[in-house]
Order: sequence, then structure tokens, then C-alpha cells
Amino acid sequence: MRRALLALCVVFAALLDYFILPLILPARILPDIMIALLVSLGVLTGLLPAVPIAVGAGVLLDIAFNRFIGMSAIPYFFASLIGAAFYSRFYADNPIIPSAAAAAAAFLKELILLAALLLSGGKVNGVFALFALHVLPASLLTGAACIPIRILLKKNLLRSSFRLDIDYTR
Amino acid sequence: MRRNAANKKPLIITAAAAALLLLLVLLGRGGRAGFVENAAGTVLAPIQKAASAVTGAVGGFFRNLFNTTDADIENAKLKSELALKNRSLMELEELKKENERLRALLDFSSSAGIESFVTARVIGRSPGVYFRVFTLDAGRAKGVDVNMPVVCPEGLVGIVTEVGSGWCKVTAVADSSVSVPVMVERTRDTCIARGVLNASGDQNRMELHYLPADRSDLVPGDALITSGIGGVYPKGLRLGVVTEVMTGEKSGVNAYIAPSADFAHLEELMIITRGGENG
Repeated sequence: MRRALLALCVVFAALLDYFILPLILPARILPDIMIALLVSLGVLTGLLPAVPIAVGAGVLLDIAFNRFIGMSAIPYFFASLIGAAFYSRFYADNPIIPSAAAAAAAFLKELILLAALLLSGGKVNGVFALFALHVLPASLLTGAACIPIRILLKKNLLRSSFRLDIDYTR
Repeated sequence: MRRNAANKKPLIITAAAAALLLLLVLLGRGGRAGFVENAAGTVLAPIQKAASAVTGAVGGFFRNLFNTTDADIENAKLKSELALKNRSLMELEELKKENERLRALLDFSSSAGIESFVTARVIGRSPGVYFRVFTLDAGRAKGVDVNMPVVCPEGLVGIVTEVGSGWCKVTAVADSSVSVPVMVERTRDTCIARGVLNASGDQNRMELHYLPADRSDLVPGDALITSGIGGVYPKGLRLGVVTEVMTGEKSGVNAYIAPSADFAHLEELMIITRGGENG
């Protein structure tokens, strides 16, 4: 049941990122809900199931929407790793670390996409303006979006299923 | 020993996921989609189509909400009274608009002399600012192949860069990796229009390069059409108009262009095929 809810969360995050947010936020500053979700998941559960979900969802979204495979999957993979790096290493109710981790992961995603664009022969007019007007605000918004997502995940999805994987005897 | 193995499970799965990802990235380089990508894309295309239709309808609802002409107010009043018929009215309206768009596409095809084409609907678009890619609901099954130009009634939209059996991906001309051989309609000077990622200002603004150095009579408002050089884009497709002419620019930019196509509101597009019948 909880795994189904998690799958629903992933689908809803994809819908938000690819259909709903671009429609209601026509400005170019869009939070990445999937990254916020994956970082939250990584922080709360560790590498599993965050990494397989990140790679699976990323590859499917790349096939459906993006120019190259890896444009979403690679940033999502790193987002889940960044989240998992804080797994069981901070006070469980601290909202700042997951939020900062999500902002960092979103920033990394922007850098990866910018590198992909430049490597594919693209040209950017105003790199500093791009960072000031798009990259930093989008990263901060992703960090902010992580706060409610983490609360939602913690309250509804992690009561039983994934905690079975935790080895408390260590 | 068993505990060590259990502790390594997440690391093993992570390493496997990383290896799989690396493999997919190295194998997936555009063009014709492989079996796995094609199958996944075919499964995802109807889902994308449904999601696109739903979000489009929601967007249309909000656009109508803020449209406050007398006719719309009266229309809204009537709609509130006839709540049961509301849905069918909206559907009729959507069909009417779609009919108008398709008619415009047909008119455009005959005026531009396009004889062989496939019409397709936009079912997805890449978010963010870096790449301008659309997913369309037509693929190899309808004769679509890579490097086919895609147009709308306003002019050139982009080029097919990846194709599956029932879907294809189109990279817009405003994408920073795309260059289009064009000519100035008035002076017949040939040059190259290039997409660029503009961090501020008009996101769709393109650049004009390689205009002959001895020709400086380019003026804002000059229309640009495809020159046909290179054989990818047929000659005579409208690309856009010159908005600003640059003189003595060290970067090699001769002018800035506003593309004719409105990339934010594309719905039905026409893929110009090289052979076969009209789709």
C-alpha cells in the first residue's frame, strides 16, 4: 500500500514538473519537485529505494520528454545520493538539512544541464544572468518544496515498509 | 558475514543503477530509438497524450476565466445556468478551435507548396530553459524520420531529432544547438540563423550569422526564409523577422531574430516528409 502511495507520489511529481508547473508558472523559475522528492526519500530511507526510483523515473522521463537519456536520470541519481548521504546522520525532524540538500541537488542538476548544452554545441548569452535569474532561484525553490514533501513522506509513507530494511543492531 | 552482505546490498544496487544509467546514456544518442527506448516511448505516448489533454483543458478553463469581454460574461452566465451542458459546450469549442488550427495548417501547406506531410499533436515538452524539445504523437509508423522539418502555420518550428514507432521528438529552431540556413527575403542574402539560450529578455530570440560583409542594408522587419542550402529544410519556409541589426559586433552576430512560431502555444504541427502520401 505504501509502496503504491510512493509510486503515486513519483507520478504526481512528474506531472507537476512536466505539465502543471510550466502551465501555472510561465516564468522560467521552476522548482524541481522530483528532486525534492528523491532527496527527501534518500534522507529518510538511505540508498534504497531512492536510487532505483531515481534512475528508473529519470530514464522514463528522458525517453518521454528530453533530448538525451541522462538529462533527468543523472541529476536524479545524484539527488538520491546526496539525500542518502544524510541518512540517519541528523536529527530526524530537522527540516534544514534535507532542504539544503535538495537545493544543492537542484543546483547540481542545473550545472549538469548547462554542461550538456555547452557540450552539444549550444551557446549561452549571459551566464551570470542565467545563474542569477534562473539557476539560484530555481534551486532555492526546490529546497523550499522539499520541506512539505519530506513531512508528507515521513508522515504517510515511512511508518512501516521501508524501515524494515534498517539494521538497528549496528 | 550475513550482516555484511546485507549492508552491502544498497551499495551493490546503487552501483548497478549507476552502471545501467551510464550504459543507457552512452547508447542513447538520438536518431532512431532502440528497442527498449522505442517500447518505453510507445507505452508512455498515450499517457503523455492524456496528461497533455487534461492540462490543456485546465489551462483553457483558466484562460477563459480571465477573459472578460461582454460576450464571455454572458457566455459564463449562460454556462452557469446550463451547468449540465457545460462540458459538451467546452468540447465543441475545443473541436472548433482544433478545426481552425488544422484548416490553417492545410492552408499553409498548400500555400507553401508542401505536398507530403504528416500532422501530429504536441504531447509533451521538455521543461526548463536549456533544451527546447517537443514530443509529437507521430512516428515511424506514419513515415516520420529524423531530420524532417516541422512547421506550423506561422512558419518553421524545428526538426525531428529522434523517432520511435508512434512518437518523435522535435528540437525547436530556437534551441541553442540548432542552426538553420536562411536567406533575407528582400535582399536574397544567404546566412545562418542560430538558436541561443538567452538568460534574460526574450527567450525565443535567435541570432543571425555569416551575412556577407559587403551587404549592410539589413533592416529591422526584414523577413527570413529558409534558403534550402544543405537539403534539410525546404526552401521558402518562413523562419522569422529581424528585430535588431548589429554593426561591428565582435561575436559575429549580424542581427537578432524573432521566430515566427509561438513555441509556448504549439498544439498541432506538420511534419514535412520526403515521400509517401499526406497523413
